[in-house]
Amino acid sequence: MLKIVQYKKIYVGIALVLVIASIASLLIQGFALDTDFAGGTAVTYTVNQKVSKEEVEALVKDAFGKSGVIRITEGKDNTSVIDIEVGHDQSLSDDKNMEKANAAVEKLNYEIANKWGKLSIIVDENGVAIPTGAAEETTETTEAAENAEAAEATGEEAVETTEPTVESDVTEEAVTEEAVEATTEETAVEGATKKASELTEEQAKKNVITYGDYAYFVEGVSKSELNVVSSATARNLASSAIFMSLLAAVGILIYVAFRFDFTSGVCAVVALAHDIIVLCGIYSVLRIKIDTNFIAALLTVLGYSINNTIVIFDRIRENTRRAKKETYAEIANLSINSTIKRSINTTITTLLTIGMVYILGVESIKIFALPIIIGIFVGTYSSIFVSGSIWATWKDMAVKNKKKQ
Amino acid sequence: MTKSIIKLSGIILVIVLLTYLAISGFQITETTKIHGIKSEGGITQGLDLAGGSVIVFQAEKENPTKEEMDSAAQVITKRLENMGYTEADITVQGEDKVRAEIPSFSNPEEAAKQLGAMAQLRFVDGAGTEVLNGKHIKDASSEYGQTDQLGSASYYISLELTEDGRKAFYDATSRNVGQPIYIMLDDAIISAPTVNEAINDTKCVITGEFTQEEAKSLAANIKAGKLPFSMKTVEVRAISATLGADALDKAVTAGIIGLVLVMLFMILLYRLPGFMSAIALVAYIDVVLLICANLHINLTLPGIAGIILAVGMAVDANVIIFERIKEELIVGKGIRTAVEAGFSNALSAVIDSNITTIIAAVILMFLGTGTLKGFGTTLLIGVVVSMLSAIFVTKFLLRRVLEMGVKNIWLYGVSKKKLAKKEGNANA
Repeated sequence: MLKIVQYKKIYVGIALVLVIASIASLLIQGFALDTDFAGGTAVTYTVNQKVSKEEVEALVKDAFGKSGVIRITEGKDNTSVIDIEVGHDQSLSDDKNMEKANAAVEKLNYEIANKWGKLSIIVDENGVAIPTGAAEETTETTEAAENAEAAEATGEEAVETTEPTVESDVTEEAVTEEAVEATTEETAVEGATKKASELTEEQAKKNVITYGDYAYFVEGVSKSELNVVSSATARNLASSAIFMSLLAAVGILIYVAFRFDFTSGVCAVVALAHDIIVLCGIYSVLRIKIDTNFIAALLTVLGYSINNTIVIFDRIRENTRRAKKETYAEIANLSINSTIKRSINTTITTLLTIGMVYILGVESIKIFALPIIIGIFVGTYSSIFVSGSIWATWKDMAVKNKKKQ
Repeated sequence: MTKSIIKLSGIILVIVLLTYLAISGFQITETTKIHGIKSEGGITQGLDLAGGSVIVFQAEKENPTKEEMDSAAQVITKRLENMGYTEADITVQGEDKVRAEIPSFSNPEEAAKQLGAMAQLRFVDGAGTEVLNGKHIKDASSEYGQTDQLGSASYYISLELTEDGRKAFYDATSRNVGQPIYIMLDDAIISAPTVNEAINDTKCVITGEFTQEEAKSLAANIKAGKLPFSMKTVEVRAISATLGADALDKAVTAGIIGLVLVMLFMILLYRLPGFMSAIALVAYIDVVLLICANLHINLTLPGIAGIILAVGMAVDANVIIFERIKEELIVGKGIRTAVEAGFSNALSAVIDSNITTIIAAVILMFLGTGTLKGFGTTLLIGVVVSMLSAIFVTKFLLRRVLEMGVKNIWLYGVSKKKLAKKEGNANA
């Protein structure tokens, strides 16, 4: 039988050191935050050729007016994946930042396609470029058609009167918002054109970008992921993460206190706090970026790491009923030992599945699986080596105090 | 004995059928259908798998009412429809946000700009001059009844104008008797009623051959058009379908390999009961997939991870039970008693340990948005189904095996040597 409760000073000591180190790291350097939590722009392009980092840097600086973090990975078939992350400007308001980011991404879409892909300006049947906004209309359920339908429903013929209003409105908007870029870029795209009527619905949704006054059909470059998050949304996410975690912890405390006793509830939550703090600490020390899915992982760890603890407490409950003159420390140690195999086996089965997800999954799911894996390890440790020992110490101390009185 | 074999084969047949059902689905009648993962209209893929865009708008107004937010969602829906995105899913998120999810659309930047602007409701005459706008309208509702003595009852829209609106409308209607007035939301005409007579009242009606739905939607659109705030963009996201498809393939492969590994692990460790739990695991996967397909749960990438994770957790209940059975056997109980005792003694631990995960999953499901919600949902389904299958399906299978007289203790995971060694100090 392993002497776990007997050596509690060592085991709980290790846990304590981990917790203190984690808190220190969190206080000193905090988290490495993903766009979800920090706010900003993260965009990924896939380009069908090799690109140089310097060139991307120049384009990013030009579009955003500041530099960002750029990562280029070479994919299969000679493709390059360009990851770009640009933070918000602290001196600007949230709205301004969002507007700026949106405009910058539009510009970047255009510039990257212009440099490494093929851009064709979208034109109507007469070869005249279609102003922004109208490009979609010609390929989708056209607005004119819809107007006609609406008019028909009321028994009127309204089509002709609507056209001028639509046109004038669109150009007005485009001119005021992007007048500057529009004038400088207009000459650059003479040449390749694509008739709007030739676009399939699929292409219209995926391969058409808008920039300045016009819409363009893009080949050779695609935007595979885009995340633009306002600072306020990022702050909300952080607070909702904290709120959800606390709610889960309270829920678990109440449940365990109700099913077992208050002491067990507190011990379970102490072990839980250990797991969460150490998990966060590992993320802080290793500078792994946290995103929205980290919250899901955190709550999973919250729910799951306590699993082992509860199985131990369940056995303690059972053994306490049978016990005659054993101390709580002895009961706890016996209970931990008789459940240790199941704790380890369950950890293995869970690691087998989530581990496969980590090994085989794509980047975004790896990021999701990793904290769960770490959390499972940390949780198993605290269940076996911490929670039972704390419980026994508390209980035995209570007995001693009673005797003294 | 024979009866047990029949029962055992029976349940295995049921699981095989369930697997077929979970994959292909089954057409019961022309309209009712059990969906499988491969059947059309079954599993709905989240945007992170199918590709698409998400735009979240926030009201530029403090504490908007629920009604205002519903109108705002209406405006966004209408605008997206005008742009051709009829499959978009628009929901009110929290107290002041509207979330628009647009499948298979990867360039949301332009859309984000256009969608958020304040809805502009205008009444325009034939010459294109604006006669009324959103400010002039107090209320709009759809009603049913007669609008004049001769006509039959029909659906119409009742408008209430402000005092300014009354004056402006009187002017306009005097000039345009017999002509249409166009009601425009943004740049789209939503209705073009003809002026029958000059109107000098704060109350007026728009008639036409409206169905109930049309009247309702027109009234809602007019109301939405008087939305007193614009919406700002707070989140713009897009993911391409290729990336999503790749992610799905890899996640499914990971799931299958993980499942097989867990099955092997269980069989190696617990032998006969382990084999039974492997069979139960198949039933678990089938049931989870059937639930996802038939309740049309939006399956996201973390959602799939939730299902896979739950596979690992699913056998936890079995591990608890089988370890217990081993212990009971070591203490010297007969196999049948040991199995029954194992199940009943382990039950409280199984339930208690799963409930905490359920608490976390429920919180994610109700308070989380987007992928968090997806993950919470599948994790919840996974944990609940796994608990039930571990307890009931495995127990049923094991009992049948017992009835068939399989008594070799090695098959239950305890070696005879170990048993002999432990027998002496079992009660210490």
